[in-house]
Amino acid sequence: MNIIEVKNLNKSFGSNLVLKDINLSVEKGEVIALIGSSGSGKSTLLRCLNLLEKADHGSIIYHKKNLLSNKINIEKMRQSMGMVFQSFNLFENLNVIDNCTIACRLTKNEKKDKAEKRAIKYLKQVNMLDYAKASSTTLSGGQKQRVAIARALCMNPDLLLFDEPTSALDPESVQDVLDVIKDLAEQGMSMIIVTHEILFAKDVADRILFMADGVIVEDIKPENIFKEHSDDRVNTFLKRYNSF
Amino acid sequence: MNNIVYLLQNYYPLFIEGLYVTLLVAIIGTFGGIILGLGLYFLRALKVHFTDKSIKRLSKKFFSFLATAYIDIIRGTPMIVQGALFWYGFAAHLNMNILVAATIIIAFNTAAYIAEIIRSGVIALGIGQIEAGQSLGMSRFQIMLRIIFPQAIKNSLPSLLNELIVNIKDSSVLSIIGLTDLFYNARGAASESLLVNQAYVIVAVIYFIITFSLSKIISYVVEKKTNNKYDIKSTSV
Repeated sequence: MNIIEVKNLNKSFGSNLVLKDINLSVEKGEVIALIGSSGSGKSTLLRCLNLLEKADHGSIIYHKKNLLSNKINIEKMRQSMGMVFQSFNLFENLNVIDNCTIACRLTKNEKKDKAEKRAIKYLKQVNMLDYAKASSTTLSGGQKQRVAIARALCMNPDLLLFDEPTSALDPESVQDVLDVIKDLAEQGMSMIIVTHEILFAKDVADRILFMADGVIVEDIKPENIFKEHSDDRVNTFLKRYNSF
Repeated sequence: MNNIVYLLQNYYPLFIEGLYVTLLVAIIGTFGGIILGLGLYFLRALKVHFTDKSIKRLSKKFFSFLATAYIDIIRGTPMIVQGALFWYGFAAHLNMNILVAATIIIAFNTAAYIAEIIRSGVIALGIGQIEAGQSLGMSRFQIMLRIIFPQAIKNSLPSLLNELIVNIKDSSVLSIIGLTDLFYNARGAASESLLVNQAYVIVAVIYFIITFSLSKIISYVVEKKTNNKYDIKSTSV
């Protein structure tokens, strides 16, 4: 069963066409890794999915509704589609546990106890429970990102979007965050992950999609990622990656 | 010098009463202005989303336009004119208490400036936390009220408190509509005693002592609270 289905999605900024006829479907429990050079449209695609950017035309079917029609309740839709950002974006006026509970309490009118109970569960899962009362500004990058993941999980999302979750982190913290995402994959969470961590994508993803110039040019099985591909841009990208 | 001592001895109740009125309307007016300013900014920054129905779309555009126009008009006209218009054109006919009228004038005037202060505070925070709130399904109102405004107010505290200092000084223009503030009472003392220069020297000294010490207190508090040295005078108008 598809959790989200994107058909002929187009998006341009001014005269610059950044997404061209994107077609993509993600099954429940599937993990998709989106890779490709900077500027290929990966992040824009992700942002179009939860309507942080409005696609020009095409359709995004989520929970049997087209998100691009003006009949949807955007806030309700976003409550079930979590997003984790490259720059964490924790609420800086709140401590760790309040970061996790505020959205449930405000959008679902949940009682504090109930919301905190769930927050504690997820903070434990991302190994951040010891910092529950810490101010979000005092954490390191890796810690912030793990809290951001717990915050998204607290909404019980059906789909999680990751926009380069480890790009702003030091090498040591990267592994901590990747371990958390890997755990989620093993638990069957549906995820779309924009990443530059090819080995991680190979390890965790069910499919790796390569994007170039606003088009998904290859849909690759993880075990075949380092084999020869029909599109030369993929080979060049991976060759450059391997040379590091 | 003897004349100043004479004035102080004989007219001190007038100066004290005037100072009380000045501080009262400036303080209440500024805090009222902060609340109004937040509302004004919220309206000004309303954005149409493609999922909005046509009535919502239209009302968002309308209120945003209204708030922008209000801010421009208030900032583009002197408070003395706004005060005269409000008092002679409206409040006096309703027999409104002059203190209430003056507080309203100050609050509605300073709100326009505060909306702009809040706007730059919000811009300085960046879009990240707003997008995070949106991605969790929070409404714009919830994001502003619970996430953005507390931080924007904290970051803009020096400028907001500076508005209080400005209002302590500028409330003197409302003496033209009969507000018995420090300046109005000093004018009374001057014309009764015929010691005009001396009376205004006293008033200048009182204004200076109040605003100077307030600015020092504010710098101290802000420095303590944010661990960041900030000179309030650098933002004084």
